[in-house]
Amino acid sequence: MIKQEKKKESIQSLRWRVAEAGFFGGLLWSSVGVFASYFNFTKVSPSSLTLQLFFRANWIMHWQGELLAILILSIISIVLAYLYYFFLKNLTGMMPGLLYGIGIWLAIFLGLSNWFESVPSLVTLSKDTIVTTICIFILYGVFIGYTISYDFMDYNSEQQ
Amino acid sequence: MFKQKAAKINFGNLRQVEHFMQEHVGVGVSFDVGFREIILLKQRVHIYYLNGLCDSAIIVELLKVLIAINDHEPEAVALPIIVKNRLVHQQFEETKDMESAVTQLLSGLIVIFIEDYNQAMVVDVRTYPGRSPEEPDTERVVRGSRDGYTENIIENTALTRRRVRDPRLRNEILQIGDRSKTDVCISYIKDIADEQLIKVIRRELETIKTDGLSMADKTIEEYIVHQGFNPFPLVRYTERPDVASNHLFEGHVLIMVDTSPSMIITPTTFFHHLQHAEEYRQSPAVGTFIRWIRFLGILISIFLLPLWYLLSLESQLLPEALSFIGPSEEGTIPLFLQIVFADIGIEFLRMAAIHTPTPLSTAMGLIAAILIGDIAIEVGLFSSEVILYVALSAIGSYVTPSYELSIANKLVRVAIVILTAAFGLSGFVISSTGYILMLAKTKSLNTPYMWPFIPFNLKAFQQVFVRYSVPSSESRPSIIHPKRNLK
Repeated sequence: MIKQEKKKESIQSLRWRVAEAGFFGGLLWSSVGVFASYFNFTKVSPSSLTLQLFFRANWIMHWQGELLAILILSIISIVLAYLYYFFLKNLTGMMPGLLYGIGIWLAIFLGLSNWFESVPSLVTLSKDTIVTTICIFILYGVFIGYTISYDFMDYNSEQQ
Repeated sequence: MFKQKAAKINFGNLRQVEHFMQEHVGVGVSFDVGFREIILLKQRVHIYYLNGLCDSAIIVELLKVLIAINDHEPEAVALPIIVKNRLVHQQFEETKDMESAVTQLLSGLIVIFIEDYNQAMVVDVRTYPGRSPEEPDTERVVRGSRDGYTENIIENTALTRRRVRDPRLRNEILQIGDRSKTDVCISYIKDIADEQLIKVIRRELETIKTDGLSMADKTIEEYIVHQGFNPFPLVRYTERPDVASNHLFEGHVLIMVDTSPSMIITPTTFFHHLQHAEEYRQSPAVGTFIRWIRFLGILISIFLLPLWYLLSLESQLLPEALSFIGPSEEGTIPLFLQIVFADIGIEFLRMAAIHTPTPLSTAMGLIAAILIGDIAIEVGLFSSEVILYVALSAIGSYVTPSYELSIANKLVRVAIVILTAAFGLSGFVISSTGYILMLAKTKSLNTPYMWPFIPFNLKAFQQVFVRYSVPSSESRPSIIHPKRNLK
């Protein structure tokens, strides 16, 4: 009985940690994205992936917009982390995370760009933007993926 | 060969023992090994010693007591028992193994053979030449204890034991090196440290096959972490007993090697190399501040120079507010070469500073600062901005508490600069990403190197980012897999 309760508790804490990883992953790497777009490494900034999809106010293009965008992306990132957790948590190593990052990147620039004006489609992107964004998404994917699979592995070895 | 010969020796036959010692240990050839024959109750007794490593005063005392046997004891049957009783020293043992007796002899113990007695008596009378504990140069603090480990492993375990009186502290000793027979000690607290880790370390140490460990801890490190060409330090070193004992309490396993004052702390992550005892000597707020500034310095030491170089290569990247950045006039020498030359120059200085005697170092500093730095700008060899950024990143790497990490980071910086020169922005971005991925992929004794950043662990990451007060950090870091989580 106690054992079962403990198990329940630790699976809860595992799920909570997935949320943490998602939130802080989003926070960190979208901040890096803001930094990169400030230095014009990329034309696509966090705000153009979120706020500018729907709104066209002037402040959105400035740092206030980016700050809000970081927050929104952090919350969206929790969802992405749970997606990873539910479907891919059994995979080990860094490669799955890396591919997950590239997958999200492709989804944005091949999928999202069809419907929204603020997301340029893949063909129109400059080389600099492609390289920068793909690197950030790879790092994000590895961050999320490696964390979740490591925590899950830890959880499994604790259960035994 | 030595082993086979040693196995055949009859300890009671002193002539045979003497012959063996002359033939295989060099008694009579090497001037530092000798023996003394005394007659006790009409029986011959041989005492072998190594003159440099044993304490003559104690030996003389022991001899006095032994010789007195002739005066006090009646003609008796059992000389060995009397001798054993009369060897007034607490560290005494008997052995039947010639090989280990020889190793003991060469470690500075005296070995006593008695005619017609099939064992050798070994008394620990060694004193090793060495210095007394001093504050380690690389880990100074403003306040706090000033003692540091020395080259003597016995003293080192004693310094640790002074801080950890726990009966569960274990110091396992083993000898490594076919020829050097260096003492290596694994220290851990039994009910905290991860057994799996201890097992792995013990196994790795036992499988080491080498002649000698002349570079002591470094050689051991390369064997146990399988370093290869990875430039990053995969274990942390410390020369401070307080740092070492703190890690013992957290559940780490220490490895000490005789003849080296540096303890190896395992398992280690990247962030262990960013800590310094000084943070824990200050109030938590100040400690946190110091830490942030240090992180900033380390980030600067890696990324600032390549970033600046990239921005001055491709000035269209610069935001308007920062448009002043970048050299105003192109020098005669390309920027890339200027950076490389300046960086090499600083490396010259660093290397020269290590082996320049102190009286000359002022002269060296002057030459470096005025002659090279100043004149190079005036002549037009370097632009002053290059000097500024190269100097900033050099200072940044001196801020890194771990010397090994700062050099590894320097290598990374040079690599990023070269790739930026070759591929521009893509080179910079891809090499920076590669740097992080490479670190994340690295494992030291099954511990992810970038933990708690990648894989992310919020609680531990807070501990890295903020220096919490000791009473409020009540749990041990989970990466070590301690047997007891709470302190």
